[in-house]
Amino acid sequence: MGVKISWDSQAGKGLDAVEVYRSKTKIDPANPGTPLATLDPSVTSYEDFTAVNKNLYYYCLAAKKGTERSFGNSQLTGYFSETGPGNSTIARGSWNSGFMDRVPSASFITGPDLAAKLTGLIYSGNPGSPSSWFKFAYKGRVLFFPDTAMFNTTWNRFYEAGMVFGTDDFGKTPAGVPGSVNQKRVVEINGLQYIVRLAKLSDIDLSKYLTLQDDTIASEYRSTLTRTLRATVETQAGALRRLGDGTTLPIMLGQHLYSATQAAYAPAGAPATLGAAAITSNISTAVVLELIMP
Amino acid sequence: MALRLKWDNPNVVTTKTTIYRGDAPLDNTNLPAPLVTLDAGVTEWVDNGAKFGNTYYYILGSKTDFDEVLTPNQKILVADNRGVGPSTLLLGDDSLGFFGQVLSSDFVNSTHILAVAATTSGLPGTTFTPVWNKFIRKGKIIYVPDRTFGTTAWTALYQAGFVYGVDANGPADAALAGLTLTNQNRVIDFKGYKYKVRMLRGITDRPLTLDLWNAQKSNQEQLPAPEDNEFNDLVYPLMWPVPLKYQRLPNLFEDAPDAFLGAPWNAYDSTTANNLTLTNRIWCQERHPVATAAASTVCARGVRSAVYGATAYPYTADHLSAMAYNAGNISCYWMPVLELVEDSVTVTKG
Repeated sequence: MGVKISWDSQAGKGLDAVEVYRSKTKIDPANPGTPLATLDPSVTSYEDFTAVNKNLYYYCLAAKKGTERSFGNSQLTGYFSETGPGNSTIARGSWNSGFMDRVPSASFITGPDLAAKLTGLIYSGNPGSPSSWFKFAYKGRVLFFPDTAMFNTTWNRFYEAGMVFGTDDFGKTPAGVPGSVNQKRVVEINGLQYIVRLAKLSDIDLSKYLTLQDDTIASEYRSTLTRTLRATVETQAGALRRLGDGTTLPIMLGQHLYSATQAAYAPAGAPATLGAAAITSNISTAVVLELIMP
Repeated sequence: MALRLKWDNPNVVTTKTTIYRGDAPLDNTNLPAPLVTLDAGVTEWVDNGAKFGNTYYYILGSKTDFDEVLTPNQKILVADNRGVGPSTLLLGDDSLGFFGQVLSSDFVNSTHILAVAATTSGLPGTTFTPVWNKFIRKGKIIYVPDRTFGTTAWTALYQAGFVYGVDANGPADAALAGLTLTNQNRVIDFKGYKYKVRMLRGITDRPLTLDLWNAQKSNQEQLPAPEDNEFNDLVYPLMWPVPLKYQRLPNLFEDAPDAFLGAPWNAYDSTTANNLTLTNRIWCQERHPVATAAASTVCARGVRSAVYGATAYPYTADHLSAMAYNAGNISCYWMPVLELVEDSVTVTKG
């Protein structure tokens, strides 16, 4: 339990103290609040036992001499006791939006096994077989994305199986509540629970139609999986720094509707643009598994 | 927070120094009253009124009884100023972060580097004017160029003093047998800061041991656990290929590896292809821990895409994460980096 931070020795610089600051938001040197700890200047590490599981914290060190302080940069650290299979830390990016690992299906779940756990979902043909899953951290959550399309089915059928919104309610569309199926579909994989749902292609409210590429910027999907592609593939506005050099992604059906009869989706070849598929038409799409942290 | 200003005064006549400060660029025809007027001979002053995090514009004047000669506006951010270039992190933190870029025209180019060599024998004489990428890694400020500087033997770079960046013939863990012993502390003085010329470490941050040397793979991605090193952290993010496991920063740029490793090459010529994939690699610091001769092996990172055949093979992440041990006396790519020297020595006047 706890978060341990360490730094190079500052002994010999004639400091009066080294101070540790912690905050849920980035620390402003002009208004840092009270230090979490005030340490002897020869100390080179600090273990914060008061950090609470499933939280993101910014830490900042200050060198104190007299009444003056020199601040280091805020460092964002996630404190999660369980992140599921694969690497438990961030390989690239940050805890707010970072690539953690590519987990082989054999270490997580295969396509047919996932399909078997999703009773009630109607789809055409066979489920896809991802060779691996991309594991991402996004704003304190851990998400898994398959590297191939999983199910050839419709938005309506995902809804009927409780797999669109991932929320413990009936969901929301511009036309109101779309039905009476609870949308928190949970599967258990190797002792851990995951919400199975469609991707969030936009941060706009679900009561609005998603028709503009601009509205996809900084969304969950644009902050995670699309960043595994080369810049030459995700050329659209709002692309973040690249975390990978892949060339393809599966189609990703979104939670938002595009119109009264269509759902928005991210096409395979240009994942940051928007496509529209009738909510009654089959589309071969990937899904998202969101870890429920114990 | 206080800001210490230092300057040189090359005037031969006696001049006082005036200091002006503004929150915006000052108009030298309409200056406010000076903050201070200092006596002749003073070359340093502490502005105790400067606030941390603010940016000020200073003008210094050299004043005689008859005239006052002014400097251009000097824009200064009150912070822990560390080396030329931007001083706020674009991403990352003190353990590994990126500040931004500095052009050669605002900093140094290969000519300045060659000027501090112990000997330029065997070094490429071409002038290279790279863009420098300013990083912080484990608290050290390191400038990495956006290209390599031609090819030369590692032994020649050692003889120039450009390998290790320590004030000795080598660090404690280096084996130096077979080399012309040379002090490795080659320092460029630029606008009041000092920069050591050295090369990146390509294997590890830890002291190099024979076990570590023998544990390396021809592709660093094959290592079962990360062995953090400067090449991985500071070179991978500069190019579009992303070694999946051990690149730690997001891509800073989407450049092709061509400027570092050469353009993808192909021809029905296996001799040349083999030679290019042998030598078109980037020298790093580490040398065989029990090296005995000039031809003993040295770590070289990355590899050029060069194939026998009708079509060139595009770069992949594997070309970046490649690693090899090459004889130290053959020619490979030279990529100098500059490390800010921050511990200054106080000289007491007698």
